[in-house]
Amino acid sequence: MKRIICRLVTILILLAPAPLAAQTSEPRYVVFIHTGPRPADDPAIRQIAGILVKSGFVVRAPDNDSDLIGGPGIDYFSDDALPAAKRLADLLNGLLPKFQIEGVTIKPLSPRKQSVKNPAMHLGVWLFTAPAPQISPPAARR
Amino acid sequence: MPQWKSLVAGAVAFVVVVIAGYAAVRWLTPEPGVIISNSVPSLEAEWNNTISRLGIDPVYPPEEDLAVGDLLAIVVSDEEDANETKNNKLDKTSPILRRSVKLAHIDLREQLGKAYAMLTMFLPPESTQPAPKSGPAQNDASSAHLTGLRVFTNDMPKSRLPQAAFPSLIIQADNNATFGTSVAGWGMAKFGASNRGFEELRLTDVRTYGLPSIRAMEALSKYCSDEKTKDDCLESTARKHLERIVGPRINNVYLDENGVNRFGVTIEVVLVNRVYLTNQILHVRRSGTAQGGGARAAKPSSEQSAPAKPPEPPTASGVGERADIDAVKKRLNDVEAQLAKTSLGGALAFESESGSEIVLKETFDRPIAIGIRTVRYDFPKDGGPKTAATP
Repeated sequence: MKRIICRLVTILILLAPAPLAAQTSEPRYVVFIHTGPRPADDPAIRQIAGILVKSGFVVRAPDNDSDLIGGPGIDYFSDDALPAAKRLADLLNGLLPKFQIEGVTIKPLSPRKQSVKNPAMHLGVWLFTAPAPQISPPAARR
Repeated sequence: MPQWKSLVAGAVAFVVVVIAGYAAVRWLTPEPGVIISNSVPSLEAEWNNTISRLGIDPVYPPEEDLAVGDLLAIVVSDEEDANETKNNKLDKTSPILRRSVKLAHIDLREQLGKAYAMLTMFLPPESTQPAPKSGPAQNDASSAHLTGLRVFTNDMPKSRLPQAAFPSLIIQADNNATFGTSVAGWGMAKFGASNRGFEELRLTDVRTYGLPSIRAMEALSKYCSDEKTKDDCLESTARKHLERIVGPRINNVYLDENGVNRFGVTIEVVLVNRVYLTNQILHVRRSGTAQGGGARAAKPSSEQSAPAKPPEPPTASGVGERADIDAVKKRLNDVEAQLAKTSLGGALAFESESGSEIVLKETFDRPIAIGIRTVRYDFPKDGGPKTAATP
C-alpha cells in the first residue's frame, strides 16, 4: 500500500504545472558609457561598446561626460548588481589596453556602489580620468 | 494490527486522490472570464491579428476621424531592452490608435476624383433609369449619383463607395472536466465543472476607398519636399509628437553590435492612402459556468456491496452552450442519488451555476474607419535625397 501511495504522490508531482519562474528570461543590465575627455563618437570606444553588446549588455549611446571627483570606475546602484558590475569591469579592463586610444591614461576600472537613486539594472561606466582643469593665465597688464 | 495499517493507508490514499482530483478539476476549468482573457486572445488582439493578415492596418476601436490623406507618426517596433519598459512595449500588433498621432492632413480629394473617374462602375438596375430633368442648381454630387461617377465631396453618398467583404470574428472557449473515485463502497467522491466563453464581432456593409500606392507616394513626396510643410515629415517632429503617448523613452538611443546608434523605438511617418469603413458593428459576449460535486464516507450496506460505477466521461459539446452545463448537472444529480442510499456515514454535496450575456449592436449615422493602408515616408539619411516607399 505504501508503494501505491508513493507512486500516486510521484504522479501528482509530475503532473503539476511548471513553475512560472522557470519561464522568465534573464534580465539584462543597461550600461551608460561616459567617454570624457574623449568624444562620444570615438571609433575605438564604439568598437568596445559593440563587444559589450555581444557580451549580453544593453548599451545606451555614450556621452562625453567625465567624473570630476570619483574618476574612472563602474557605478552600480544595488547589491544585486555587484556581480554584473564585476563582470563588466573585468571585460573592460581586458579590452581597453588593446585599443590605442589617444590622449588618455588608462587605469583599471573597479566597481563602486553609489547611493544615488537609479534603477537597479543600470550600470554607469566612467572610462577615463578627467583632464586637469585649465587655469588661464592672468591677462597681461599694460 | 496489519488490517488497521492497511485501512489507514487506504484512507490516506483515498483522501490524496480526492484532493488531487478536486484540484485537477479546478485547474482544468478556470472561470470563463479567465478563459477569455488568458487562454483565448482578447477581442482586440484577435481583431488586430485577423485584419493584419488581410494586409490592412487594423483600427480598434473603430473611429470616424481617420481619412485618406491623414499624415500619421506611428511606432512600428519597440526593441528597448530596459526591464522597466518590458510591460509597456509597442509594436505592429499594438492598436494603431495607441501607437500613433495624426500630424497633418493632405487634401487628396482632387487626386481621388481623378483616380476613380478612370474606373468603370456597375450600377444597380434602379440607378440606370434616365436622369430626371433638373435645374442648374443641381450639384455635382447628386448628378454623380445618377450617372455613377464618384465625386469626393462632403455630400457624396456612402453607397457610391466601393464595397468590400469582411470576415466575422468568433472567439470561442470551452472546457469541462469531471473526476470521480470510490473505494469498494466505503467512500466515494465526485467533482465536475464546465465553462464556456463566446465572443463575436460582426461587421456589415463594409466600404473602402483610396488612392493607388504610386499616386499616394507622389503626393507624400510633394508634401514632404514643400518648403512650407517639409518639417511635418521630419523624424524629430514625429518623435516630439509621439513623446506624448510613448513617453520620454521615445528618444532613447542604444548601440548595436557594431557600435552604431539605434533608437530603441522605431517610428515611421505614413500617409493613409486607403480606408475601410463600416456603419454597423455587432458585438456579442457570452459566458457561463457550472460546477458541483459530492463526497461520502459510509459503511457499505448489503444492497451497495458492489463497487460504485466509474464516472462517465464528459459528453462532447456542440449542441449548445447549455448542453455542457446541463450534462454536469445531470452527473452531479447521479452522485446525489447515490449519496441518498448511504446507510451509515457522512455526505457532502455542492452545486453552483452562473452566466452572463452582453449584446452590443451599434449602428452609426456616418461610416467609421475599421482599417487603413498606408505608404511610408523614408526619413532622409545624412542629408541625402528624401524618398517615399511602401512599407
